Amino acid sequence: MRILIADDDTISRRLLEKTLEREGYEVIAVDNGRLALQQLSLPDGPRLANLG
Amino acid sequence: MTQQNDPSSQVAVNLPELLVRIDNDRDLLLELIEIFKEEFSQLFQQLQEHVVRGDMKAVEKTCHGLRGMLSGLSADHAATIAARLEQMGRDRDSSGLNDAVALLDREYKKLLPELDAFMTKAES
Repeated sequence: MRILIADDDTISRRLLEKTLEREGYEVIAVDNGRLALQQLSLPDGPRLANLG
Repeated sequence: MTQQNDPSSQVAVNLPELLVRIDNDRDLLLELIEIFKEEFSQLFQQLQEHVVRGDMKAVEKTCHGLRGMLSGLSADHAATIAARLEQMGRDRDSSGLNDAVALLDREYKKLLPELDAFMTKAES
């Protein structure tokens, strides 16, 4: 499953990204809401989003 | 005050706890330290500018970022100070603001050598 992380805190974003990748998830990490919306509007976009 | 309870005698960053949290991924820890060293100084400089301008809303926002960054790195005491500053910003309460900023600066200067020592050890 593909998961989106949106957080402007680089350390928190990287920590969560690595944790989810270790669990076998495909992760897309962005640092702002505009990029998050872009990802969520894609036809094959992430199924779950964590918005920091 | 006993040495155990004296904040000045405590480590600034709990690296063993952080390593457990990141599954002992030392490469990731080195990456996080690099990010921290680059981004903390930028955010702290912004904080100082907000304080000079008396912009408490901006103090709140910047300290929210600092708190998240410090918590992520298991720099618990510094994170607590940043959280206090964030609350001051939220309350628009500037009493004691300069003291709290100075305290955060001191804590940052204390944790830098700890991070540098880890990096030197990891890279040797």
